[in-house]
Amino acid sequence: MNNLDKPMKRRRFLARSLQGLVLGASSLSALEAAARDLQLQLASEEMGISAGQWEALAAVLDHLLPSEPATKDQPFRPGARDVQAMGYLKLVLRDPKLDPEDTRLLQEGVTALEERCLKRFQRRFPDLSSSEQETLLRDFEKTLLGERWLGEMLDFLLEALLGDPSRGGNPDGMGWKWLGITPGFPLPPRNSRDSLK
Amino acid sequence: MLRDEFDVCVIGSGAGGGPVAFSLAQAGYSVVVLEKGPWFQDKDFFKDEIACCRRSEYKPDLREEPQMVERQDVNDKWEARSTREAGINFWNGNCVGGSSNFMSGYFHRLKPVDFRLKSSFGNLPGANIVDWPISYEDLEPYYTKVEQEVGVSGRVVSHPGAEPRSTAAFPFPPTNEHPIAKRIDVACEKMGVHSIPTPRAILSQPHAERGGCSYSGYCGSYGCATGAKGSSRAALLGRAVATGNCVIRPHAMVSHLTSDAKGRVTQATYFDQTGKEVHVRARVFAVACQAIESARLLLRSTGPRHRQGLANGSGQVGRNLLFSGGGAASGSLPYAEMDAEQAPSYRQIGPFINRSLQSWYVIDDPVFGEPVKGGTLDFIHRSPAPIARATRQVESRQGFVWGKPLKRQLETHFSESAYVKVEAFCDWVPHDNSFVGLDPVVKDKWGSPVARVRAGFHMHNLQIGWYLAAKGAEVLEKMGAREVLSFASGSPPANLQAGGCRFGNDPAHSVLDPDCRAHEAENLFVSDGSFMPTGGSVPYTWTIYANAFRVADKIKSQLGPILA
Ligand SMILES: Cc1cc2nc3c(=O)[nH]c(=O)nc-3n(C[C@H](O)[C@H](O)[C@H](O)COP(=O)(O)OP(=O)(O)OC[C@H]3O[C@@H](n4cnc5c(N)ncnc54)[C@H](O)[C@@H]3O)c2cc1C
Ligand code: SF4
Repeated sequence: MNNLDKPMKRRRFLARSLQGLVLGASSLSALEAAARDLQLQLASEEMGISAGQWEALAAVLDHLLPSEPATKDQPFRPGARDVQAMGYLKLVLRDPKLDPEDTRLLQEGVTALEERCLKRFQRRFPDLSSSEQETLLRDFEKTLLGERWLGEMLDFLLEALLGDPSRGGNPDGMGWKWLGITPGFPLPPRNSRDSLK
Repeated sequence: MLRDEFDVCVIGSGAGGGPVAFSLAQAGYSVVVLEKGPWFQDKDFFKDEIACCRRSEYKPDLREEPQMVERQDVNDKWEARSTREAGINFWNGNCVGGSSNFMSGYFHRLKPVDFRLKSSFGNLPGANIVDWPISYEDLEPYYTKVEQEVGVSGRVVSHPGAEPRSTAAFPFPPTNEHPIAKRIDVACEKMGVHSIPTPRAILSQPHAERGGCSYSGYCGSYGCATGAKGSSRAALLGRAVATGNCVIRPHAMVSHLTSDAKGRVTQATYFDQTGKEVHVRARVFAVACQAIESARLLLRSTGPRHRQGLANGSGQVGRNLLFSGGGAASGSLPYAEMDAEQAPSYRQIGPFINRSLQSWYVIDDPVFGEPVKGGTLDFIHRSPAPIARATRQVESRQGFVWGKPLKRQLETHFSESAYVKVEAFCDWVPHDNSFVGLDPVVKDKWGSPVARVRAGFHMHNLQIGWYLAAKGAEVLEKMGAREVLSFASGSPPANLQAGGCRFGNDPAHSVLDPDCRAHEAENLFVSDGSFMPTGGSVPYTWTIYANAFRVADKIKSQLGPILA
């Protein structure tokens, strides 16, 4: 990625996500949530992941678990964006119990992927076609870093899909419903992890 | 001012600590329990797979409190790695009640033959097999006590390998059963072997302050919200505190036991939550930190008479560490092969399978020549934990599965079959390459050397493990299961630990005397599974509980009448 790009992309990313949240907000708590989200993004960037890299991560997650809307023959089958995998990932990175090695792996992986992407396609990962993304990821998987990083991404993705909703993914147990999974009980209260959000 | 003097100081509050605290407090002695972790109540436990099983929130942070594990490299050299990166963690639950909060509660007694393994089968090359200094009859009353005090549910059936019991029935009826149990019974009958209802440390109905099982479906690895699971916390420690004689101090990490010129232990030193050092004096100390950490505490507690570590004059502390040997088998029962009524009953996740086989507890098969010690097969549900199950669907020989193919695979995995697992338990043969010591370099966050575990296995474990796993697979085939697989493994199951402070009559070859009192320190007892010289072919916890009740009686007689 071109370094000059960074500040602008970062501002645009923040502005857009704040707008999205505030426009949809009808209560004070939603505004607070928006403010928290902003803080979260700032904190995440301090962890060394730029706004552009977040966009690349989102595109990778979408590719690994694509959303499949309902059709007349098929029910809705949720993908990464439906289960809020990105929001989940950001919360995970803020968890003080997460091993800094995991954070470093995430950063190194996305940086290496972007470099490979620009070198091979002269475009950014989110701008590639699905088959180009597949080619790039399969190539990346053959490297040691790529294999470890993709393993980590898939792990976090499945946590977002099938973890407890109080953790930030799997809204309303959407992943459980899709796969017919009966969760145990009692489940954690909805707000039990608000301090992290 | 915190009280700093007690009759008894118990270190560690799990299955080995709870019975000592409970029995002595009930008898009127003053007891303090020092537990390194926090104190949760039933209401604090939720079914959150990320908390219990992915972030290990009930275990210490391995950056702050690692352990070291030695494994053999390709040149047969032992290489040590931190558990932080070795993919194994010997901590199993660090909170009041210890790992007993998170167990599944499959409970088996040892059998008389387990107390005399050497005289029954002889030693094996390279092994350190010995007989126990006590017999099954000595422990039987305490197994019965555990049934009542901790709460064991089940149904007594007669079968050829059944151990003698002093009561006719379990105090609690069996927990609800899944239809798979019936299918196992039918298959076993066809094979001419006895399927046994597995006793469980789970209350099938409410009792005293505790609720009955709510069949939450997520039991092993998860804390219990009803109090039905017989953790030391739910079954014993609440009642110990209610006597008014027992104080529990959570967040108390014991770092040292001080001993005097006579070798007696005088005080325990712990770090409290703020990092401050606190001292507690007592007449008797009972160590129950789970095998690896108990040995570690003794080894780092040097004193004027204990230069190599407490009770380690003969160099035996930490040696002959035991895990549980064995193997496993699994199979699937496709819903498509069931009729319309059967499939929904197989899909339910609350009721238990609760079946085991002990037909090969002693194996008399020409493949081994002479009869050999075998083991137990437990039939269980595959863990329902969805993230763990899904992560296994991602791996394939060709690389990761992702995208729509992954989604189709998840749909198939979660919707098309019920799964049955068989766990095979055999003796972990004690030998010189299974031990725990102190790491010479790595320290925990308080500056104490961490445990260094060498968990080498004896080839005999694998032979028996394979044999038993294959028997499990035969039953699965007979049940009509598909995709039947079986295997044995020499890897140590980190949650089933014992040994390291053997009891015995000879101080040159054991750490503890037959009462589990240190040969070299008359007021030091070790009351977790460390005392076991051989482990038997079942999971250990019923035996740990039973022996800890026995040790409590020995401590009572040593302390004598209560002084006013
Ligand atoms: C997921 C799981 C499933 C299991 N299922 C079964 C089963 O089905 N059947 C069965 O028989 N067994 C089972 N077990 C094993 C069972 O939990 C243990 O055998 C039993 O709890 C061991 O008792 P313990 O007293 O040795 O250790 P624990 O119960 O672990 O207690 C030790 C306590 O000591 C504390 N401690 C350690 N060091 C210190 C220190 N220095 N200072 C203060 N405190 C300290 C720890 O925090 C801990 O709370 C299972 C275990 C797990 C984890
Ligand atoms: S309620 Fe029953 S199934 Fe649930 S954790 Fe407790 S004992 Fe296990």
